[in-house]
This record gives sequence, C-alpha cells and structure tokens, in this order.
Amino acid sequence: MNRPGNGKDLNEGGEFQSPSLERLVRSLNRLPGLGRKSATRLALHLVAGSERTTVPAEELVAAIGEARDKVTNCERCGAITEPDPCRVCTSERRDTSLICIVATPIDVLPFEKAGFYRGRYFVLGGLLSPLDGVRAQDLPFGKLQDRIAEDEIKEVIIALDASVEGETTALYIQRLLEGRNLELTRLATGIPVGGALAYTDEVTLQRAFQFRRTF
Amino acid sequence: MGVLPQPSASSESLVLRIWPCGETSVIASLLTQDHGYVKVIAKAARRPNSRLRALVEPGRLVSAEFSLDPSRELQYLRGGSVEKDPLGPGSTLEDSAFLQGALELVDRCRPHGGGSDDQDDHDPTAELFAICDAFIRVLSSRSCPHPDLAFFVFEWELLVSHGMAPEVAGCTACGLPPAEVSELTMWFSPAEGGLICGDCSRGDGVSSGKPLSLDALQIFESMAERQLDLADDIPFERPLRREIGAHLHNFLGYHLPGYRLPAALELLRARKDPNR
Repeated sequence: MNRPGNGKDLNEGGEFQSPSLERLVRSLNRLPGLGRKSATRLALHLVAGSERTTVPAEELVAAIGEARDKVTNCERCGAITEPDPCRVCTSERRDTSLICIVATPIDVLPFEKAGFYRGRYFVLGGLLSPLDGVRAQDLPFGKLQDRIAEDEIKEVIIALDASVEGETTALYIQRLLEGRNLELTRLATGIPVGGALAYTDEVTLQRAFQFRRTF
Repeated sequence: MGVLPQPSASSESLVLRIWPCGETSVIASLLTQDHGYVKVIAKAARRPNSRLRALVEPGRLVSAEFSLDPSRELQYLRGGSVEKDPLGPGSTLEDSAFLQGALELVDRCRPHGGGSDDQDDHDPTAELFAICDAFIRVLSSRSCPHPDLAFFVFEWELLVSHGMAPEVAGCTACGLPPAEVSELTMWFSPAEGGLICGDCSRGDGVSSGKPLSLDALQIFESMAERQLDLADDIPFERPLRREIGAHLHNFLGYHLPGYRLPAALELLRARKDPNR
C-alpha cells in the first residue's frame, strides 16, 4: 500500500504525483510545530496559490538565506542578534548591574516583549541534565563567572524553567556564586495571572502557598 | 451500542525519565509499585494548563492513573496526583545530584522479573519501589542532614534488592567477627563479598579490596541492620564520606551489571573559582 511517508512514495510523488512537491512537504514537515497536514497546506500555498496571495518563493528563499547569514549569537550574552554585540549589551540605558540568566535565546524574547526589565542577559544555551548527558562542562559557566566579575554585577536573576533541569541548574549557579558580594534571586513560582485555582496542580499550589505574601 | 471500558490501573509511581514527544506531549518512564516499569505518554502535558504537567517531572512520587493494555508498549497517562516533590523549596545541589543519581541507577540496574503478573511472592520491582519511596521521602522531608548518607543507604538497599548485600557481620573467608579483627587489617572486598580480615587477605583473593576504617564499618553495620536514623546529625566528615562512597561504588560496579557512577554526581564538583 502506498501511504504517504512510507519512503516509497518519494520517487513516485506520493499523493501529489509530484516528487518535488513531496520533497517540499517533507522538508516543511521537519520544522517544529508543523505536522504533515500543515506542511502540505503551506507547500500548496507556496506552489499553487494565486499570485495575489502567495509569498513569492524567491523572496522567501532570499529571506531565509539572509537571516541565516546575518543572524548570530551575541558574543557577550548569547542572545540572537544581528549586530554583534547585541543592542541590549551595548545600550547605555540598560542597568549594567543587573543580569538575568536564561536557558535559551528564545527565553529573552518574552522579557523584551514585556519591556519591564532594564538589565542585561546571559544565555546559557541549555540546562544541566545529567540523565540526558548535558554536564557542567557543556555549558558556559566559566564565561558567566567572568561576565559577573567584569561587569561588577550586583544582582543575578535566575530565570530558568521550573523543572528538574531548571532547578538543578539554578542550584549549580547558586553554588558557583556562593560567597560573592551580590544578590542572587529567582523568578517566583505560583498561580499564573488569569489561572483558575481549581485547575492548578498540587505542586504549583503548594509553592504559591509557601511563597504567599502579605496583602 | 455499548463501549467496552478501557483497561486501566492506578499505582504509586516514581517518575524516572522523561522525553518530549511532538510539540506538547511527554513520554515518561515510571517505576510503579504494582506494575513494574511502565512507559506512558502524557498527551499535551507541556501545555500551560495541563493537569498532567506536574505528574511528569523526574524524581516525583505520583499516584498515577494510566491505561494498562498489554498489547501496547506505551500506555496513556490519564491523571493522578503528586505525592512527594523532592526538589521543592529549600532543596540543595546535593539533593538534586543524589536524586538524579538514584534515578539513573534505578533506570539502568533493573532487577529481573517483577510486576503484577509474577506468580512468585517476591516482587523485585515492588521491593525496588519501596527503596526508592523511602529515599524520596527522606529527601523531601528535608530532615536529613546528610543527603549523601541517604544516598549510600539507597545504594546499599539496591544491592540488597539484587541479592548482593555486602557481608559485614564477620570476615567473609574465616567468619571472624569484626571485634576480633584488628582495625589496621580490615579490608572491604567486592570480590570476596564484603569484610575480610588481615589474615585472610594475604594472597591474591582480595586484590580488588581496599582498607576499611572502623567508622566506615560501623556505618555499614548500621545499614545492614537497618538501624541508621537518617534524621540524626551523626559525625560524617568528608574522608569518611569518600571512603564509604568509594567502597559502595566498587561493590556496585563489581556486582551489578550495567552499573556505572551516576553522571549526576559530577554536579557536586562545582567549585567556586577564586580567580574569577
């Protein structure tokens, strides 16, 4: 039986009777968040959509190529940027005594979108996960210590996932920075804004209760 | 037309490992009290409002409800509640490292047999679950001043559950009780199965053994008799910790197939660099 995706259909063009379209669908299908249906819809939109509604394929290819060439990680903080160092690291309006440690470049985006944080960042590029083979030597902890010493940081804010890996990484950073003359803080955990108590899990509720504040 | 009820089970479980699956789901490896090792998929567990999200964090003791279809390798996690969260507020790097070290050992050194289908009264996975349960509860209670000692007890019990309990009641070769063995000539040998006296150690038989201090012997005796109160702040200095850790590591490496030093313990080498 010639089901889509069984390997045989690539040569025959699969359900489309077009090997090139099948290849395009498969390529799109490998992107995060795109199942085969969505990939097919996008592929057909790119290939067979009307001129008025379709993004020209050449334009898309050029945009991807340009972004791949120009976008890089900031040498100082590790965030995704085009000018290197990034605007956050070079801005004089940022508070240089504050540094926020995040796990991945994507984690910088919600802070910048919200706009309330005026300090700088340090992107670890991952979280400690011994079970998955991510060890301390795989992450730039030495660079982090150098950065804290050079910039005379007064407060380090740990903004990592509330998971075992995030907890472990936070505890590791705490151990590394012990004894330094700086404030070490972590993001609070608890009930999200707009969240319903009835749908809150036990652990989140317990932590929210433990860290309740005077009203 | 009626719908046949799906077979399901509810069991106390320890979450050993997780893997992301697709965009929002999680596959979790569980050690359950009643059904041995079970792999489940928690659909949409990575969505912010998922009720399953809290149930699939490694190291948590959960009361899990899951499908139980013998024809499927992967069961569906349907719900449950968290019983113990060992890495809550107040936990330390030691707690985290020893917890993950224990999870790694339980995942790698699996006992043979087990599960509810076993006809034998002795269920090794249920016994292993009980050991893990005790360890997680000690870590969660934050009442243990020495999480490393709790981990060593866990390792000892792991050996016991595999039928490899070290012999410390007397010399494994001649049976001489420890009180009659000179402290200077006590050895601990994985090859011989535990304590060995100086006289018996002459020869090639204990080439893999190491000297055993009286303090370490006393700790081992307490472990063997299950009389070690982990809430007690007993003197447990660094040299003694290192000695006991090394003895157990050698013993586990000799007797348990698949054993290696848990990678999580490397986290404890975190040191402040004074030059930075």
